[in-house]
Amino acid sequence: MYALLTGCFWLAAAAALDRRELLRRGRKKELVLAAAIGLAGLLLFAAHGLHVPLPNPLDLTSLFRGGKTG
Amino acid sequence: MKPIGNGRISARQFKIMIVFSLIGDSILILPNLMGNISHQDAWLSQLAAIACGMALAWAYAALLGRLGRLSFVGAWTALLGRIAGSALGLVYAYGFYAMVLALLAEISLFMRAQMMRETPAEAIMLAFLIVIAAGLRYGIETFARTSELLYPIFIAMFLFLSLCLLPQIKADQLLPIAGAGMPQIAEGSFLSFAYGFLESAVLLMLTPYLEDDRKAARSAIFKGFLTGGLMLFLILLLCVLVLGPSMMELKHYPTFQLAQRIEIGRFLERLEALLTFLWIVTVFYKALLYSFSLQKTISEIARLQDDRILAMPLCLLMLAGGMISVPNIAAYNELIKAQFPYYDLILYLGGPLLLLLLLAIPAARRRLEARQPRAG
Amino acid sequence: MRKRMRICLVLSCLLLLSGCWSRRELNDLLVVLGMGIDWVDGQYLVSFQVVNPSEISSKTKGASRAPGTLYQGRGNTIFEAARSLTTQAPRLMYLGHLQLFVLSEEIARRGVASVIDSPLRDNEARMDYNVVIARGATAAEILDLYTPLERLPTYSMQQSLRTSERSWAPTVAVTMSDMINKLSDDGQQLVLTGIEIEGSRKQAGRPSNLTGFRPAASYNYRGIGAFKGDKLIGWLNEKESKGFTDLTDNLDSTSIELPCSPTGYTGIEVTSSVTRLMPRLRDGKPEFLVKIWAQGDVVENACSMVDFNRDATFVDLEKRSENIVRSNAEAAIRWAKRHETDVLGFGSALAKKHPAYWERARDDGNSSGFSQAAIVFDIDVVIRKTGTIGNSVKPKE
Repeated sequence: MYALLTGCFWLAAAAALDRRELLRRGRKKELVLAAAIGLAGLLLFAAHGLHVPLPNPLDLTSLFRGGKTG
Repeated sequence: MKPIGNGRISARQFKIMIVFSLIGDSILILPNLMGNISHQDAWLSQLAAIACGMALAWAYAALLGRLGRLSFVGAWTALLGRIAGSALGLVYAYGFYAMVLALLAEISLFMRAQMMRETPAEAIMLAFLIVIAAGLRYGIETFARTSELLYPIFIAMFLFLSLCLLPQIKADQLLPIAGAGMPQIAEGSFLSFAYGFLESAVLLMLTPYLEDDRKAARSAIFKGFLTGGLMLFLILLLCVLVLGPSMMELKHYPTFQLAQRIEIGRFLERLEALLTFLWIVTVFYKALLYSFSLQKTISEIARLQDDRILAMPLCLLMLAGGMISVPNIAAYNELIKAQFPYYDLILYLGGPLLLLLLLAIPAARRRLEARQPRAG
Repeated sequence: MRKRMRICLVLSCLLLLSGCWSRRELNDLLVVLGMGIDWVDGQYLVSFQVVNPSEISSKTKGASRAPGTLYQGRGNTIFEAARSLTTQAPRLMYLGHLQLFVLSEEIARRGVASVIDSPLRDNEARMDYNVVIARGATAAEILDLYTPLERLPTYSMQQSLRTSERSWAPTVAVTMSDMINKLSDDGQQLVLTGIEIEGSRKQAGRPSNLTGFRPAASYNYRGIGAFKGDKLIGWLNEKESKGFTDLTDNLDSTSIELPCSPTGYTGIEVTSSVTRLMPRLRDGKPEFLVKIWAQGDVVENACSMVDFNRDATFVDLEKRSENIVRSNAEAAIRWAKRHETDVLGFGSALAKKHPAYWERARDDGNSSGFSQAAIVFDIDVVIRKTGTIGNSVKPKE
């Protein structure tokens, strides 16, 4: 719960701080990308807060050593 | 806010940021890691690492000269074309993201082990990320100038730490010199080379912002590598001389133990909380530079005109990632021992060297020159 | 409007500054100065001596209440014992100012490695407190003692330990970090000084202990306890202890007594002493050269016939002092050889000088190999002064 709140608060702050840049004409790509990243972050954070089992993003680093783990 | 392209950093700021990112989290984790491998010869390992680091500095400096106003990822895109370049860019974006997550885990584990036991990791990461977000939103020029402000304080505190420990030195803890054996010393120096020097490769993402004097920038790399390497050397030497190899192996954060050891008379003691400034600053700058590179890479892939608005969403993504990525200290140790050396080698040694080799071909060089952005 | 919003934002930041998450204010803490661990019925009995802040401030006079309070808890882990105390004590224990860590002899004989894990793991405790072994008393009894002069007994004990190491010799002040190094380095065994209570045990923990000129009970450091691995195996007596501190170069100053008549002695104060342990290999066998350089002054003389105007007297005194220093050192070495425990760090010196040989010897299971090694002494005592007078007063015939 707290994670959802923190995340929403964070995004609200982002929107408030950057609203002028976000809504500028001809910057649609920026807006979409920012929203997508923000929502992804919010979803992940909320899922973590709700104890949903999530894959570890750092597990991918094992690809650099040819997929072997440990 | 100024549009991008206007941020400019001087050679001196460039050098300082290299020093900070080189010392980074190494100042905290290297003494323990190297103590476990090369024992009392950790300082020898570090000397070897500095020698390799200077060779690396040469390679990076050469690359810096070739890149012009393109960043490292930008140069790859220019050479390989949009699709292949973007794919490679995504690999690097992931790499930068993983590094920030590891640094967040590092600082929260440290704070929770040594200073604030009951504070939740979220709170520490959040506090850290708020500052990173602020840094990203203000832009590179601002945080480069801030580094210039912090540097004298950093050096002064570092010297203070070193000088105050002089009375505690026990010279015989160095013996037997080179007793750990050459393979162990080499292994230790590889760790320092990877975590310190290779992970400074992030400097290659700053090329679009450098002032035009490329000669000064190249010598800044050498100076930065040497300064940072020597400071790590001094820390490792003090760890061996003051704490002894057993304590280095036992405690997770020997550098913190060093700060605890300061005791001059019965009044100048218990300074560790103050000296924590040292590694907070370096870890912060390393994380900031990597976040900045992540933001820069994404904006280059998507060809954004303004990348600063990504700052806040990216930081939220890092906060979420930081929470789910490192469940405990064993996972972290496993990560830095088994995964990160390969990650460093491939991304920050393999990538730049390959690019340098490619740019030895005149056709490739011409292609790169044709795609230089106009001077802004 | 915008400006006002910013001001509000900045002011709201102040709310965050009230302190950090894990802050612990002074009035939430019990400052632990001494910690004692006993082994009772298969459990740890942990005693914490905490300071009573109001009693040690200089304004209050007279010992209406004790300067500290002793809390005791039991548990299977030290942490359990400490936390069980919350039912008796108003606040949580704070270990950041720990000065003295007392282990009971039984714990020391059972092995200390498991006991020191907890204070080592803790983030509050620093590594600079001293560790001692309670001899002939429980650790709790050591911490339950009124001491004269210093109101805080642990402070008194810590200072006494440090002073006696420097200027008397048969004690070693081992801090927690030394202890870790000695436990894990090979070629070096742990030693800890013993502390005992002299006098009336019953009076020790009462204010009446201090009503007379002579305290009814007081602490006393006696003997150095030698370990093998993490287990206490025996005690060095005073002579051996002196030899031990001299050999390990901990000694700065001590006293040497030379008989000059059937009942009288000449007293020498050693003012500085430096020891070097030099291992060497001779025909593939280790040999240790022990070099001791000491300087001293004559501080007392009971025999009027000793003539300090003659050079030969000094030569003679130096020679006899050297013999005493040597016999102390030999006693310590004999003890260590007899018990096959390398408390003197011969192995460690060898490992530092000849790592390859040491490696081989250790692999052959010969880590206590020093017991066969030859030990050669090179002791040089120089006596320089005789105080403010020359010869002693000669009474009339």
